[in-house]
Amino acid sequence: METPFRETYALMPPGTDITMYIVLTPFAALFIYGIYRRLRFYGLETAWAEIFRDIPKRLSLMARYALLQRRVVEEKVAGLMHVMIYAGTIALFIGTALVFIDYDILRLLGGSLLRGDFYLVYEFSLDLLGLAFLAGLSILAYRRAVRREARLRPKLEYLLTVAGLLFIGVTGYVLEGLRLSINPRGWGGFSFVGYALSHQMAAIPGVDTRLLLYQSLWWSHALVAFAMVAMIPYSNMLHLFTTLANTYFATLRPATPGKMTTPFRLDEVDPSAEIKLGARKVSELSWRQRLGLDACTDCGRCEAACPAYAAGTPLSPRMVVQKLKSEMWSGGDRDWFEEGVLEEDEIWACTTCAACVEACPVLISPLEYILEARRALTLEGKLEKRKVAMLTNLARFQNPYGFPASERSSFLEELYSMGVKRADEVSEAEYLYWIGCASLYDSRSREIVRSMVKILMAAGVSFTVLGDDEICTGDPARRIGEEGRFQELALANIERLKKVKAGKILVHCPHCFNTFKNEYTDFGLEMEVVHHSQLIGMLLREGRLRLSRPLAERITFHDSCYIGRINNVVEEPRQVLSMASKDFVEMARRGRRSFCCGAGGSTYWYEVPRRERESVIRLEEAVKTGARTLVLECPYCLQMFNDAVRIKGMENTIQLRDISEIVAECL
Amino acid sequence: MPDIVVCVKQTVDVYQLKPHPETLEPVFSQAQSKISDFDLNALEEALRIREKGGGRVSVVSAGPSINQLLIRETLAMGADEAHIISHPLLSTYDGRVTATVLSKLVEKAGRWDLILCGEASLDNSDYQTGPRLAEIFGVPHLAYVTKLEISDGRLKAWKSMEDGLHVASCSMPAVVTVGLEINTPRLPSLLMIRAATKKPIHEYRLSDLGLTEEELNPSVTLRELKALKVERRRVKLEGKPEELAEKLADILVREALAR
Ligand code: SF4
Ligand code: SF4
Repeated sequence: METPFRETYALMPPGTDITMYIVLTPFAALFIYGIYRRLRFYGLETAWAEIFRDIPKRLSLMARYALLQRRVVEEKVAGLMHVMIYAGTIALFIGTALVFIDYDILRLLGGSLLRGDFYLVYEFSLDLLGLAFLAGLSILAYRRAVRREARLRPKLEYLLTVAGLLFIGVTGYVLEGLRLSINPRGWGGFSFVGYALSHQMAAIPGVDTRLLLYQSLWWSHALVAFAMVAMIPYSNMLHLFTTLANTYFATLRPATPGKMTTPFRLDEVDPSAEIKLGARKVSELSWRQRLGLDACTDCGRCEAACPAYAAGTPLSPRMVVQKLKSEMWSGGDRDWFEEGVLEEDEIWACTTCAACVEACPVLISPLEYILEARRALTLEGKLEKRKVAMLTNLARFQNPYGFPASERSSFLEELYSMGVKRADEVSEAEYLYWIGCASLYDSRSREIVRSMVKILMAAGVSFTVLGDDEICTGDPARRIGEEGRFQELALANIERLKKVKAGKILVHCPHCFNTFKNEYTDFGLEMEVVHHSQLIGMLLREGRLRLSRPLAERITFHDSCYIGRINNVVEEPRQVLSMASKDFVEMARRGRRSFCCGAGGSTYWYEVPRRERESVIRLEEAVKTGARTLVLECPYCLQMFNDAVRIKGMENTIQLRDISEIVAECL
Repeated sequence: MPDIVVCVKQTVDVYQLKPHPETLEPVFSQAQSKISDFDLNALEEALRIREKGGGRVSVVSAGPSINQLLIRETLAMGADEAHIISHPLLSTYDGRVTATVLSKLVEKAGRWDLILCGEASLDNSDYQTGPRLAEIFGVPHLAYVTKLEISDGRLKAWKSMEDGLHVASCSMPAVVTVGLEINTPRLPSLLMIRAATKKPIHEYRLSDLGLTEEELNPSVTLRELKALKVERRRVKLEGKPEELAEKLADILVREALAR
């Protein structure tokens, strides 16, 4: 048999190669201009020095999330679809690049690459991956046209993109089939799809007709391919590049979505200096944040995970990102709120639960844009009454409830009478137990403290409290965008905490936990922070605590966002609960994929128009497990579910208990 | 471009006042002071007018000891400058004294087209200052305004009265008093409050205003201030909803007749 080789331009008239390059030029120019324009939008030119920092870590992120698509494949159907299209596209690209090398470089040098066995492998692999490509596109069509998944937005652009890709894939095979029918080759079977098609093609009468058909299809295949490439920087296909860049630069984000940026230090800035905070225009975002907008593929995974969206508020994290992206692409720089790009309620509906951050396959944080917008809105100060009230309470009473300090004195007295000592009364203690505003002022949440005190005393843990010196950590202020007030409270707290002779802070409020652990560090507080679920777990493991009377009833557990997803404390509470009950069952959404109760990010303090409550949606999930008790690890979750139970009239169906209450009961 | 003067009063936060268990007199020492709520609405309205049509917004305030920090909050909200006087004699006052002193401060603020006040104060609820200022300056006064518009130098006001909504208009200069319904006052952020140190607060002595101590003598004096003692009856009704409704109705009727 003759050595197999690639016949480039075989059935095309002479001079096609030159013509093709002439035709390609405007498309290439359009592509290059588009990329240039995008880079201008990001302002990457100001950040180019940033590109070379931290390279190994960034490459590894890029490899994991963009190249290997770790998160994309977490969903079966969507993941399979994407991987097939992705692999097919890369194969087609490499295939074309090899032809270029073979024909336009090596041929001129008198060499050749695509011949012999290598060529046969080449043909076989391309045909195989081409099938994967078409299969992927079919799944895509199925999801959009048959399953009509709610999170997939119909858009003409997407339809055209898919049509273009399909056209390229199908015509590729047809061309192969026609070629083999006109010019049969002994090695034709390696292009197995084209080979099979060649028999059908042979049915078309007349070689000349087939040749004409071949030549016109060849040009249309080429033109569509050129057009698709040219359109990359003007369409969603740009994600081919932007997702690489976005995952590469993801190290520039705060390490966890629980940490907000510290744009200034209150104790360092000149008091009369005017500071701009947050963003309400695309130009007020950082270059990395603008690049992030462009990496969004509109996949809708963040939206599907978002509790505020599920509750029917005006918020969809995907739409926030997409709207800002279109705003950037329009080239303008309008005020988002004055020009109706975003609605204020959209921004206020977010519970900062970070489910969107966890869901985004390409490491975009929709939450980040929301928080920037909040800062800008709050800086302007035009807030509605309940937000104003909460912030005024923080300013005047150092707690969000607006209770004077005297309101908690009887509760503190009760604790002292149980034997709890204030930090200024003891020389040293292992833990400072931070009680948190919820439990200082809300009577139901005080039960958590009572249980914890019981547990700590039973286990002989040395601890102390701040008593009247405890004021709000500032979390609600920071999450609503009042950075100055947050820092005022934080700095006051840190000054007091530094005087306390205890190495660790114990908290049962996930929001306090997060603030101490991730945010106070920017202001110089370095103390180990322990959530009560972690401490209880440790005490049980070490045998310092024994559960002599485990529960018989069925219980289930709701992870708080700020402990589970955001701070990755997932195992400890489960270990505790499997010891506390013989019948501990899980809800479908759990751990890092838990579903917010609807109280985070300050949303506890105001109302946003909604169809449903997050807490009600979640409560129904809990009830479905058949559990008699829903165990919680956050005082705000407790209050949210309390409302949900009342609304649903489920007082007799399910009980709500903090994990500490369960454990105290089993002692 | 109307120039606006807003009168603000520093009052005790009445929501924090608790009566002394025996004397029933309010314990002032436990409560913080704040800017009277309605006055913040007046200031907010002034700022919104300025946002639309420009002009200058000045704040005036008089009291026994004005807390500059609270004045700074009004500047942080957006007022351009403040004119204040603190004088111990102002701890006892009546509507006449307040309006007289404020009118002198308004004169210090310079040219004005509109004076905006809260319709009453959080602590005393006298409803005097606005009308008296209008009287002193001999200009029209619009009270209980829930919506305000300015066009062609005229004011148009929607006033919510007991018998319905009145719409009135007048020329400027004028005095307008507003209530809580007119708007939600903006909240200055901490950074804004700090940045407001740059804005001027002019503090005057009595003589600067051309006033004497005699003129601060109120014509009305406060004799006694006591909390009303309210106690719940703690009656607990039990039974089916229908019976309960009946029992409750009975009690209500009996109580009403007893009055
Ligand atoms: S943080 Fe949570 S509530 Fe906010 S947009 Fe993301 S998923 Fe939705
Ligand atoms: S932000 Fe991420 S998860 Fe959301 S639509 Fe865009 S790419 Fe998908």
